[in-house]
Amino acid sequence: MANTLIDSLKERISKAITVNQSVGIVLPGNNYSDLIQAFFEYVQSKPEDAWVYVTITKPYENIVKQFGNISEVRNIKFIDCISRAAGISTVDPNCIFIESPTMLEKLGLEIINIFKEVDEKVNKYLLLDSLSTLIIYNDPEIVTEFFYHLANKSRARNIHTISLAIEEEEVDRYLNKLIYLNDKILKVRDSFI
Amino acid sequence: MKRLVIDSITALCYRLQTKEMIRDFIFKLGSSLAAMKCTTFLTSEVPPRVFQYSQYGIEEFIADGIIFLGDVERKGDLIRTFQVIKLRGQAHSRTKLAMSISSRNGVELAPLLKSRE
Repeated sequence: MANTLIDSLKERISKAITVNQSVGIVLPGNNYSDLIQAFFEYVQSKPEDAWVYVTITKPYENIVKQFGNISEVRNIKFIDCISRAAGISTVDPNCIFIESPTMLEKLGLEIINIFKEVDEKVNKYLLLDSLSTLIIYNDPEIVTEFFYHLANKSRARNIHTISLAIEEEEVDRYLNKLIYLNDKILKVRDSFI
Repeated sequence: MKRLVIDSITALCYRLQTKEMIRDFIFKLGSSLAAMKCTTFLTSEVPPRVFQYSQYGIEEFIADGIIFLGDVERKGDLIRTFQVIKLRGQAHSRTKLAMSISSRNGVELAPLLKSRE
C-alpha cells in the first residue's frame, strides 16, 4: 500500500514539476513521510538536476537518520532552519544551518547562493518543507511576503519550486492564500492512489 | 587610492568638552583628509533603537554620506539592517535592507521583509 502511494506520488510530482514553474502540495500529516520518501527517490532518479531542500520541519540530522544515503546524494543540498534554534550544533558540508526560522532574508540569500554555483543549463528545483511550519515560527503576513519574494526570485532565475503545506485547521486560511500563489496545486488524499 | 578608517569618532571626540570643539575638530579633520583626496570612513556609536545617526548630533551634517547599521527584532531574534541615509551628489536607494555577515560569503544584503510584526 505504502509503495503504491509512493510510486503514485513520484509520478504526480514528476508530471507537475516538469510542466509548471511552481507546485504546491497540500497533504495530511499522516502522508508526510511517504511524500518525503517519494521525493528523495525522485531526486536520486534524476542525478542531472540540482535540488535544494529547505527543512523547517525536521532537523537535517533526523532526515539523514531516516533516509540514510541522502547525505551522499550529490545533486541535493540542504538548508536547515531549525537545528540551531533547537540547540543542535551538527556541521555537515552538504547542509547550511540557519540560526533561526525567523531569519527569512538569510534563508532567501542562501537559496540563491547555492543556485548561483549551479550551471545555467542544469534544471534547478527548490523544495520548501514546509509553509505550515514556517507559519508556526513567523507571523503569517511575513511568511506571505517572504513567499511572494521567493516565488518572484525563483521565476526570474528559472528555479522550479515545490512548497509543502501540511493540513491543519488553524492555519488553513493563511495556507490557502499562500499555496494558491503556485502554478499548480496537488492535494494528497487517501483516495489519491 | 587613499582610504582611512577611524573606529570610532565617538571615542576620538570623547575628551572634547563642547559641541563647538567637536564640530570644529571633525570639520578640520574632514577638510584636511579631503585635500589629500583620502576617503574616510568614520564609525559613530548610537544607542540601540534610538532615532539618531550619531552620538553628538554633528557628524551626520559634516559627513558626505551616512550608512546606518541597525537591527530589527523579529520574534526575539535580531535581524541586522543596512540603510543608506545620505550620499551627497549621488542618487541612491533609501530602502532598509537586511544584512548578513558570514565568513563564507562576507557581507550580503537582501530586501528587508516589511510586514508588521
